[in-house]
Amino acid sequence: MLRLAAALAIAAACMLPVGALAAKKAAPPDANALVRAALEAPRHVSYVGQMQTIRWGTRVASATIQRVEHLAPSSTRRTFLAPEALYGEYDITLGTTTTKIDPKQHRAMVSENPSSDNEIAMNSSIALLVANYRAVIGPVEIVAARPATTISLVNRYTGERMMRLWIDNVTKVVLAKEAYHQDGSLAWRSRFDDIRFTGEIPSGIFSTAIPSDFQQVEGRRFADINDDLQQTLDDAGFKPENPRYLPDGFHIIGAENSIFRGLHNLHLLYSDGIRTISLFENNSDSEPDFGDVKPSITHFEGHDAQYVKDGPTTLLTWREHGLAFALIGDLDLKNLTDIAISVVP
Amino acid sequence: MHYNADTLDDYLHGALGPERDATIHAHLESCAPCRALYDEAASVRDWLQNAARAEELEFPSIIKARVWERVRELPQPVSFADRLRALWRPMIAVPVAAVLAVFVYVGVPGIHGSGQPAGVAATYLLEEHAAVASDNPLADRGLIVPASMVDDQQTSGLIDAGDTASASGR
Repeated sequence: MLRLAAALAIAAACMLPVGALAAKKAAPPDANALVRAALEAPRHVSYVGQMQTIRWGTRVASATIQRVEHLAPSSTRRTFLAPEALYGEYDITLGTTTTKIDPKQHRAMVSENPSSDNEIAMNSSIALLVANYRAVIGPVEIVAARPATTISLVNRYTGERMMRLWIDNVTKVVLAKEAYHQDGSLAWRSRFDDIRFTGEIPSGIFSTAIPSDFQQVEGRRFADINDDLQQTLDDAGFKPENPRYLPDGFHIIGAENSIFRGLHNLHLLYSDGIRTISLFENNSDSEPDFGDVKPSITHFEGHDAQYVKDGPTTLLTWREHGLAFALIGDLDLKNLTDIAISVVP
Repeated sequence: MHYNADTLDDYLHGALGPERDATIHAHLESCAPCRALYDEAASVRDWLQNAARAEELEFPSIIKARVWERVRELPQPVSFADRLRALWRPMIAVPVAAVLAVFVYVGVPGIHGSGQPAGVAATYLLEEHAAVASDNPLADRGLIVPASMVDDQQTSGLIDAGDTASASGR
């Protein structure tokens, strides 16, 4: 309900200024419609193609190449072609269930993510996107040998371009997209090298039958992001804290409680339509387990905090008032620190 | 008299008894055909060893980290209590008990453990975030973690499916 209410409120709030300005200076009339069509295209367009994704960290980048077979509305198989260590691995998503197959190690894993095929969530995302980002149509460019309209998504608060989409002129499928850091540097890019639009994909491609000699590993059962925020907060088992500050445009879109090794964790989720921030808290008052990864140290308001960067994603952890906190998002450390400071002012 | 390849292979790998080993050792000193066969077997062994060494790859540090995490999570083959019971023999039990008693009495730091409970694994947090972030239709699909990098095998090995459960009442 929270998602729906937020979506409606934001969409309504967004309509006012847009409507008022429409008579004088309107954005290109079909820009938002094109974005919406692009986001909904996979529900009714089937295709086969090869996609490369590159994620840039502070110093290094990681890349994958996948063969993608998508049968509308919600059957997708992604087979890794590169890097060599992943070659041949594939995952098949049917609705909310994803089966990951590792042929080299004869291993299969089935995960469930009930939030992944949620139309209300999709509408909320689109509403947030429209509220926070101005869609600016650019020139037509060629991607995977097909003409594609470019759309820049410009943050309404900062004026920064956060994402660029290349939308197929005929099918409206997103052929390429790039996300940017606030300083304009590239955070990640995905792009089809080639694509063919067809619904004639053999059903065996999406078979999730697991060979008998494969070890079946229980995958993650991700919690359904709960729309009843107050109920989730009440169920946390401790008095949760909420950030008093979020970057412009971010709204809470859901919450969940989960248990990890007996520890109750409250997961609060915020989004501005493109970027997502997670705030985790529990009352263990214990340092997170970084394994052998050595986190960097930072300080704010007299607290020692630790952070690691995973590509464009930053994880910041600290303890305060008997609670352990973790903030994760594709934001720079300063932004995350500003949020962290506001959690317990 | 000549030895066949199987026997020379066994000799090469030290699988023969001392007497037979010595006999063949002496024979190889004086028999050129057997010596040639032995040298050939030895060169094959060396080639195989070199090839195996050449194919050894260094795991990325993140993979090693998560493998070690899994190793640490495995149950210990012999419990601390079992080891204590094995030591519980009169010859050493009394002095050991006395030493332990003194340690407890004087409250040596560390006798009670660190007192710091283990926190949530960072990879668990990152994976939870990636799962919900990928619900966004504009998300980076590269966030999807391949099978070999999840659970008990490689990079996400910190995550143990048995340790995680939703409490949101799905």
